[in-house]
Amino acid sequence: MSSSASSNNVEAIFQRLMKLPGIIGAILVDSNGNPVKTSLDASVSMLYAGRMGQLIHMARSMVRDIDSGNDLGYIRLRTQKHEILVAQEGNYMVIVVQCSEVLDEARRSITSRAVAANVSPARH
Amino acid sequence: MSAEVEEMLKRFSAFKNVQGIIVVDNDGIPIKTTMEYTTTVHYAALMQTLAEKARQVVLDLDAANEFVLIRMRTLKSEIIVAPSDDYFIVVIQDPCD
Repeated sequence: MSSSASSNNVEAIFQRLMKLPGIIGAILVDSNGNPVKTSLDASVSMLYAGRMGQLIHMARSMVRDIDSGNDLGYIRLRTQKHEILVAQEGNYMVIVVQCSEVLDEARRSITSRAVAANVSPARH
Repeated sequence: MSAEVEEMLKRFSAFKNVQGIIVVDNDGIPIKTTMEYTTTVHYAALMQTLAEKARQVVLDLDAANEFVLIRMRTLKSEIIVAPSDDYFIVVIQDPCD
């Protein structure tokens, strides 16, 4: 894949992330812990990248420690104001920050629509 | 406090996708569990460290914010850790999707 094609791909993914309900920001972090794409300012992105990197690293080693056949997929860190998703895919880490209230409202409306249509709601 | 804990355990255990529930006090000692001993102690110790780390991370990012819950999706399960004043709770459940 040419580098312009893959950067278009990254761009497309990023645009999709920015449409998530209550989105505050999204950060793509490389294997060195540096934000390579972000919708937040540089210093905030660097702070998120550092802290979330430490957290996901700790959580992953704990999961493997408890069961060597298990592995960590992603983390959702819930705070009063925000919900932060952290996931690692190969060498990259993605961080998505959403407003808790807006996210919950979106989840509630998905659930109630699914219940009304009598189907299982998709996971968020 | 223990009536509240019992009530919570009963409610959560009723969900069929719950694999285990552990209630750990602030000293890292499991006070209630639905799992066997070694696993319980293992989870209690590790999740206490993780919860403390998560709490610190949240404060580092915004001193006015507060850690509420952490949800870890693994291959085999979903692990939820939620702090409270006198204890924290760990729930291990089947992944939803």
